[in-house]
Amino acid sequence: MSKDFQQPLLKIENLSKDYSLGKIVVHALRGVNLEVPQGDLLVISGPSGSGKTTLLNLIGAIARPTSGDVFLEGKALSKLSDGRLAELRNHKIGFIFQSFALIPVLSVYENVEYPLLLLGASRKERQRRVMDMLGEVGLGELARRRPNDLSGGQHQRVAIARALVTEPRLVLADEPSANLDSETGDEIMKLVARLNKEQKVTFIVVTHDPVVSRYARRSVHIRDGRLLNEGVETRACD
Amino acid sequence: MLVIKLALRNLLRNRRRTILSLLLIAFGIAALFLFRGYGVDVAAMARESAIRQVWHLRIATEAFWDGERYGYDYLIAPEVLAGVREILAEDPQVVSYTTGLSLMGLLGTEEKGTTTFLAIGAEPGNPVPLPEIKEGRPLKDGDLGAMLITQDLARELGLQPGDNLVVKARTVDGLYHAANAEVAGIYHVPGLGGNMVIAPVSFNQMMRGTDRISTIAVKLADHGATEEVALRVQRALEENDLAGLRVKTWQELADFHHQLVLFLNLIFGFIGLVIFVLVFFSVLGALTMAFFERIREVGTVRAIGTRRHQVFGMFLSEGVLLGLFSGLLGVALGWGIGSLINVAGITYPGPGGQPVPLGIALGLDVAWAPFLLALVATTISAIYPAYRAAKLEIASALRFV
Repeated sequence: MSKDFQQPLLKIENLSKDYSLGKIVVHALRGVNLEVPQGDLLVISGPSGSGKTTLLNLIGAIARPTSGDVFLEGKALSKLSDGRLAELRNHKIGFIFQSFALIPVLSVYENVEYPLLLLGASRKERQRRVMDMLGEVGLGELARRRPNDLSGGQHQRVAIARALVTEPRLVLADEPSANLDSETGDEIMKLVARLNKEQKVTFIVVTHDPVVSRYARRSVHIRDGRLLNEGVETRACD
Repeated sequence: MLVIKLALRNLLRNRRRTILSLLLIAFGIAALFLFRGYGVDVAAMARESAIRQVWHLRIATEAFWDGERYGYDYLIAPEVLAGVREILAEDPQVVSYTTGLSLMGLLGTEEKGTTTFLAIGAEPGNPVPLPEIKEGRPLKDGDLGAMLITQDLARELGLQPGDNLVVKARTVDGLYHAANAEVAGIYHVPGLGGNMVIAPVSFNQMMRGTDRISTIAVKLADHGATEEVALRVQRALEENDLAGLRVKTWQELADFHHQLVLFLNLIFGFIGLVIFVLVFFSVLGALTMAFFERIREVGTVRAIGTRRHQVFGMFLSEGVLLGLFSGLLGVALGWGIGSLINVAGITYPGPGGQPVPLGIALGLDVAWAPFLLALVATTISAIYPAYRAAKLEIASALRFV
């Protein structure tokens, strides 16, 4: 085990989430426990409806749990106000969505710049970081284009650049290759694995695609809201 | 800046919808601008007419203002008038002043019969109201038995300039007095007609057997200074032991002008309300539609750290920008149409069949209210969609299809 794994970045304790559908209560997550060390590339796999996106939403502080808690760098997310959570998402967490979720009225450059504007970075700093990040994902030439002019793979590269531009501690990816053909999906996962290795960014990827697990340092399986092999499957990733 | 940039881009995203909203609001604002411009023009004409008739200030005794017009007490004695002249001469806003004394009685000729009249006493060199002479000549200093009569009276008695008249009236003491007079000219003053005669104040004094006058009309350099000068003159009168005199402004005397302005403001308010409601619902519809189209986007920007108040600001800014652009466009449109109307020289029949020019007042004092209405209506209509966007739960918004 590498030195990076010594310090847990994320700790999940007995996390549950229930949804009410009229009189029916759906238990989306049932007492999940998990630890994610700094520098990890964790793949959470499971079938549709297994609770993997719910788990990702709770880790990313975009939903509140019914019980249990998520600790990021030792800080309990349930104790933070709405404003503090927004700040945390901006500073420390990056998101990559299945549907790319770029803002269509902004150019590639502006989409990547957006989190830095929220962060209050100077114009010069923004320019440097955005161009560095676009270079990193191979889209430096397309900075002025609008998302409508990009292919699916390019969309996802922009989303990755946007997720990483604030240099977050944790990046959460929800089915990042699901809307892409297998070759492009593979490229995206290779990019994720490279950034994880080179920039030491912690990634948590949820997927129902078993191929994605090939890129994981560790992988866990989720079914019916329960983790089946909590934090045990570790593999070498290069 | 980020909020404004996004709001602007989002407005441009659905151009057809934005242009339709923009045009709808702009036409409403242009209509409101034109009506307000017309109202301001009509009110200004009425104000000019009122000031032409009464001047800016009138000074008279309390008894005169209270309607107790008998005996000598309600009149202003020459020594009191001298004190008033000194006060008015010292005020820098006073351009001119003139004395007046009215006279009522009968006038006519042996051949053509008699009729009642009301004679406004005016200083020949400085008459108020200033008559427009249609035939004959104006009054001049030294005229004693000369009169200006209306076109109505000239027609009724078949009089022409140069004709002689017999005038009968009561003196202040209640005695009857008759004198000869001459028709100097036939005049027209908008709003004055019938048996209204303008005679030299000295003639009226002679007929009423007094050297006193009833009113002093004061003309000012600036309309806007009316209230301020009225207060200043009143204070000076009181300080000079002339407390029996009271100053009234043209606004107090010209009730018609006051009623007209009130009426125009009521209509403007009603039209404004109708346009406000139209703008409100059209923008509310457009922005609510935009909100539903962008629910996932709201989820995205919230997920990457945008705060609720910033999302609120984005949607609100769209309303503000729409109001700003449509307000400016509406005012520009109204200004352009107003200029064309003014250049076209359109007239409509006024009181007495006189053609009145259809004028539209143009200026920032006309533009601000319609512009503000556009801005306020669009901003208020953006509050609801902005509130809903800000309250969205991120995870639900991201799932929205």
